[in-house]
Amino acid sequence: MATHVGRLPARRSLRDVLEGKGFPYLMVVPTILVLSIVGVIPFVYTVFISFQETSFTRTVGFNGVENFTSLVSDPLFWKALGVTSLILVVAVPVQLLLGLGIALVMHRGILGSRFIAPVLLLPAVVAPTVVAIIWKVMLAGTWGFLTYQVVDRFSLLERGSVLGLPRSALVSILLIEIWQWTPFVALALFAGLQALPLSPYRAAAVDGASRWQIFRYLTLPMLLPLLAVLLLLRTLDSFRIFDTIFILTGGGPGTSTQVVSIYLYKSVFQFWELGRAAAGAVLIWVMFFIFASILYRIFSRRLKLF
Amino acid sequence: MKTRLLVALLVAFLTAAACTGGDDTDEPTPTSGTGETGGTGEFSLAAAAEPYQGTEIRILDEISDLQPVFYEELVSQFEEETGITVNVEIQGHFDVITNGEADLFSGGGAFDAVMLHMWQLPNSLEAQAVQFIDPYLDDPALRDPSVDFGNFVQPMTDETTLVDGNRAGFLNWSYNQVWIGRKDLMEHPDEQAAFEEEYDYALAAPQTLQEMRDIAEFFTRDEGDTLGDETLSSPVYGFIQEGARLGATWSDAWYNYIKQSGGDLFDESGTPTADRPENVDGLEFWKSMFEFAPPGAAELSLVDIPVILGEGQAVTGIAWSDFFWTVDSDAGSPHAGNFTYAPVPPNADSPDSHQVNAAPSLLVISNASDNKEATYLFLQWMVSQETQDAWLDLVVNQGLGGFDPILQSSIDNPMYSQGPRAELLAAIAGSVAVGHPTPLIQGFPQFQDPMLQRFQEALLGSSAQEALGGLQEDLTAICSADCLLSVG
Repeated sequence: MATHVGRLPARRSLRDVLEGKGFPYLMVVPTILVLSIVGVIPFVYTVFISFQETSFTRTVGFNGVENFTSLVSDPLFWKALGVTSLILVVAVPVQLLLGLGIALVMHRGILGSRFIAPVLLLPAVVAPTVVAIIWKVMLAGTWGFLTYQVVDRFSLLERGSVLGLPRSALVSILLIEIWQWTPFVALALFAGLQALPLSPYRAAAVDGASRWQIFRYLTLPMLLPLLAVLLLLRTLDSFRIFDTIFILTGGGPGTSTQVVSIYLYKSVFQFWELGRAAAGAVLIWVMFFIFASILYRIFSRRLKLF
Repeated sequence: MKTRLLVALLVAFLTAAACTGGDDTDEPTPTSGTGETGGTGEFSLAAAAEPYQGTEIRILDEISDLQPVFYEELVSQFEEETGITVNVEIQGHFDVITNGEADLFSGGGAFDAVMLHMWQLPNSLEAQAVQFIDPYLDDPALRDPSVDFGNFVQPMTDETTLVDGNRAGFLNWSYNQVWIGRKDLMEHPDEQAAFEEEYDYALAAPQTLQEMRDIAEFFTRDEGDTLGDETLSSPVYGFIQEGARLGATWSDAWYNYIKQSGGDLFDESGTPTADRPENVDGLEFWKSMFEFAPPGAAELSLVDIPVILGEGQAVTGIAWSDFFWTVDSDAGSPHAGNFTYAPVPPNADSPDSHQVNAAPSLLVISNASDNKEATYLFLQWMVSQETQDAWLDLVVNQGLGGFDPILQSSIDNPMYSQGPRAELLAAIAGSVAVGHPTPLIQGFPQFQDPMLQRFQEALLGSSAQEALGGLQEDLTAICSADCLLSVG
């Protein structure tokens, strides 16, 4: 190609930019714009309000960390955090374990497994509000289907109803959470299993490895990245649980099922303490950020996953 | 004192003048500011509304058995007469609270008038979201002199709408509770004979809380027992009332039991007194009624109670009266036509403390409204004698909707004690006569939450003493003194 000394390079046209290096950035601009409007800006505003004294829907003035100190000195906040943590610690591992088991069974190609997959997805695609209403009908005292056919028939509760007693209400919520999201985890892991390479398995078969050894040394390590992502997603979702509990128990009996999201909801829509609720949201975000960072470090450094 | 005396004299003079015009009232005149009482002079709604013709106003009200028929059948008359278009949005109980407050507090002005439960009023006043109606009451161009606050049901009206001598709005409905029982079972000869043998007095609507408990105990039956002419295939319970973590459980326990035991959660100076011995007695009584309730009572809210009674799972109960306009009508429930009613009875151990849980509401004019005068005319029209009579006629003579009286003259109207719903209306009148709303408390939802929590803990195993001790700590942490707004 001849060079033309002394001539300025041709101006790039918009078309050149669109078809060149600028193209990928252009493609993500709408997404970034939307995320900024619906995510970043409200978040920044929430942080702003968390440092403000508020009166109903108005900000009155900067009040330092008073909202935060008021929040952390409220025993109900810590109780709500405790209930939320309990749901996390119990429901999420059970979802992952059960989901893995179901995925392994489906992966073995048992009869009908291809038809089970879409059916399994049903609880996950039903809106949480609908799930809560379904289970409220099932567990309603005296006339609920499960209450009548199981709880009353086998006298599982001495007195009271499933949703009317603190312990059974909390157990019910845990079970419903597991019921709703285990299929999603199972399907995700099933897809992951389907995508695993076959050659390691062939080699292991040639070497005479047992099923347990294949699972322990081949399948599980290869699935770890997916498991890590699912752990993070399910933890985040369980932390935000709201609809199911709001409809089933409203946070009761007493405060036995009041999670952080319900506590903050009341702070806003019943007590009109916007500053305090914003402080709660910021605090929760910080907690989860720390948790996600720790998890990422474990996955990337110790398990060398990412 | 002097000012009040002068005002009273002025009011008396105006009343006497009204009497010579043939439009009189026998009720004592209120001691609040001018413009509160009826007076002489012709009032023409059409003339008053002339400057506002073509205006469109939006009203947010709560759906119940009372409202829809009223808005459907009668509001068009107002529109025709005034040329003001009225758009009404009626929402469920929890939605009208949340959405109404959101609109008022934000100053959005989406609604010109919003229905407030009276316990919502203090927050709305603090947020400066409410337009007091005193300027309109004093404006002869707008004021209908026949709308007389001396004619409104008391003490509910003044305890709900009058704050520091200023009128926040008109009473919307005198939402109240009544005792309900199954008439066919209460009047069954075998049941009556068995009851009298066991309790040594005749089976009838309870005259005391203690009788109410006896009746509840009597009608709690197991599978295989007889009830009326029937052998039961599943248990039936003698009593039902709210027990849930939300709704009105807090006011049931407070007003029907704690206050009726001579106690209260606040003293006259507004200091929390939740752990008084009388309160313990009252809460224990409330708790004891759940021994005769279905196992799921701790999760039942105000909307579940009429369903339980309507389905016949419980024989008696305390419920909000407005539900029974539908439950006790054709196709409303399997036992429609078989209910009997009475006011919530007093406590025999404290008969001077008779009061019934009431939750009156008011329609307030939003401070953000651009159509305050037109809105005022509509609200005034709603509470006028003519409109209330028309509403009563719809219910009594045409069997449509429901009615909670806000005017004493409605209760005194001969029409009130006629028709198939006369018994329900009589029970409502009895409850309204001793119906007290919650005191106006600043930031009330913060008080309400621990009440719900602690009362439910008492229901689920704690002693009343422990629950009220905890409640005293909770209330004191929110407000230790002077917690009540001045009413009247």
